Amino acid sequence: MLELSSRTFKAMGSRCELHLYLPLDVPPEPLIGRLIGEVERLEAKYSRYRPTSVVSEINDAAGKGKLIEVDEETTQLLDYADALYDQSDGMFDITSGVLRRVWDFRSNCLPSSEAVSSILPLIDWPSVIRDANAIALPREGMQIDFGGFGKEYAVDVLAAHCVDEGVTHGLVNLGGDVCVVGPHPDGSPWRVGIQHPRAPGESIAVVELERGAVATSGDYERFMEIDGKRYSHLLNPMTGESLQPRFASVSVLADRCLVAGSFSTVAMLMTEGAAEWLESAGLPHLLVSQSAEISGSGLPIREEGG
Amino acid sequence: MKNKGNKALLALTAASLGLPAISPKVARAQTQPEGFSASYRYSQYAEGEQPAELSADGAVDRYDIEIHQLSLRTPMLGDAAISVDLVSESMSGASPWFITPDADGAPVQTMSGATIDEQRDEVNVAADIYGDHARTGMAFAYSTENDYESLGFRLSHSSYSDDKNSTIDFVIGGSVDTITPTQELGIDRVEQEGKNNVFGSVGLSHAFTKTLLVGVSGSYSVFEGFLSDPYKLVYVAGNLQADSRPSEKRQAAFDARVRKYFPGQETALHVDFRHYGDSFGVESNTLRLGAFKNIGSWQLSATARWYIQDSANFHQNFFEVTRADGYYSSDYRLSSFQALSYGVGVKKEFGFGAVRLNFESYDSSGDGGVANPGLVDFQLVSLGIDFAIK
Repeated sequence: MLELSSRTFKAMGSRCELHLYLPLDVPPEPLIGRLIGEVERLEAKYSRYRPTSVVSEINDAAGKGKLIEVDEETTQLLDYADALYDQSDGMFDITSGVLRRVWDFRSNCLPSSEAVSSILPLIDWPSVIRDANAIALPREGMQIDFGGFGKEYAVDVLAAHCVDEGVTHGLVNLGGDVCVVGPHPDGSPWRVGIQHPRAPGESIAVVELERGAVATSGDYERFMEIDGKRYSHLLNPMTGESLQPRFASVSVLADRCLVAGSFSTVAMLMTEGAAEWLESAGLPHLLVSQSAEISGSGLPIREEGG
Repeated sequence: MKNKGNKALLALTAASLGLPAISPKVARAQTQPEGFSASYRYSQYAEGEQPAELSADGAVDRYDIEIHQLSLRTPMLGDAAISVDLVSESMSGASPWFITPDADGAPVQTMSGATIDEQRDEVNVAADIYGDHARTGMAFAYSTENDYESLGFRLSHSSYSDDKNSTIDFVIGGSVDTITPTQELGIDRVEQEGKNNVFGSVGLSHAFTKTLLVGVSGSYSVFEGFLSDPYKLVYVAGNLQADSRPSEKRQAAFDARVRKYFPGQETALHVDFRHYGDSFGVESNTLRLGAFKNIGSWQLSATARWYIQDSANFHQNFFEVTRADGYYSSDYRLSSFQALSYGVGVKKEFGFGAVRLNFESYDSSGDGGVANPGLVDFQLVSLGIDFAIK
């Protein structure tokens, strides 16, 4: 007999949920505790806001000519970031977060073009010095951050833990990035809501998933409207300017949340051809236009709301 | 975008595979089974017909074997697991008896006259204890036929590195066999003989990446006692006499294996090599290639094996002159030959486990000199079903 154990918690700046079916004789707390502990481990290790994180250590050493040694997991995440940079033609650059210094979305003020230009030399992933298991940022002021895929990676880590622990029916959701470990015990799929990009707290569609991951990127997380024009937090690493994304949000389904999230983010960053690009990857996806119209292919959508 | 989406998917999937916390663990050390599992396999082994031109009396029938195999495995309290394997084989047909020269001096095979009907049953019981960085196991095997009895044991120990990417395995074991040949009127056979065997092996395997596993191992084995085949005769200087081999055999083997997984294609390639040599003078090399492709819940496999062997010092098809050491055999298994076999298989996974169907075809031919006329070809078909209960 399996029983559903659910837990909601806050981590990585998001609302997170675990829904796991466990045998009746297995107390859920130890496993749930381990999973939450794993999220905390990743947050402590990779958050740029934590002064003791690996990311802060790397950023603090920028321009000092000092190679920072990193472990296997970090090396592989940096390799992943490198692959993302290549595959996105440089649009996904983990050194671009430094633009936050001039783009303050709470200020309702646009940065001056001089301020933006002064930052651009610091956005340069190819210049980052990497050894087999060490990294150095060549210029003072350079920064990396894993904000673009860290949460998705954490979802995959938790899902892998669940599988290792023998969980065959369950769902992990970290702030809308979701991995389904397996369907409900009766075989029915999980119904995963896709955030409505213009109506906070409402879903625009429901995706039915038996297994696999779905990740969503949108222009709605941070933005400001100035003179009726919407400036999203999605910034072009080449120009430093706020993008005018074609879509309000892109959701992508893949085996791994990390891969789903990378595709949804890069698709949001692409000014054109995103739909064709996702199509050629063969990944089911859902595109929401600026006027909240839905298109896409392959997603098992059962219901539209919002 | 210069990069196509499908290329991006491949590149990003490949990059994500390196991440230790979320990757399939190819080199994962053996872990205690999580639940009860059972598998059953039925196989039919059929030797090809003896070619009439190589047969002394035109008899062409050879061996057929029907094999039932049942494996049961269950976790025990603590960190132990017990497994039981049962094998039952029914053999019928004729096997090579002796070789004589025909009028032109070419070797012709005489098969055993009466059709043999035999039954062999085997039971294997093994217990394994799993630790954080090690597995220790012991196993006993008992096999019985109407004329043969064998009792064997083995102890094994595997330990793996902290990252579980490297494993070292040690195995030692031995067996005690007794043969009581079926007597036939007019044929002089030994009454009862025995043979003993001890063996040991050391193996090392390492996952260089999450998708590349390489292993090597060496093994050594000593047999002593009655190592001849009591049912075979040898033609020596015009007379037929009993197959006669040294009472001690030492053998050594080296194995290397490479497993490479291509995640984009969901395909695994296996390359295995084995070199073997023994004190009878037999030396052999084996190369095995395998490809396994997953398509949804299906797995297709194709394997090819090439084998080449140099004969034992005391093997000839027949002997025109006597040997000083008195050892003679014309057993085709000790001759020089090559063999090529290929196999195809399909496996389908279901909620309860899996069903598999395999086919293998094996062809052997002589290698240098006049081929032993007893060389065998065979085909093997097997159907299996696996159950797992968590």
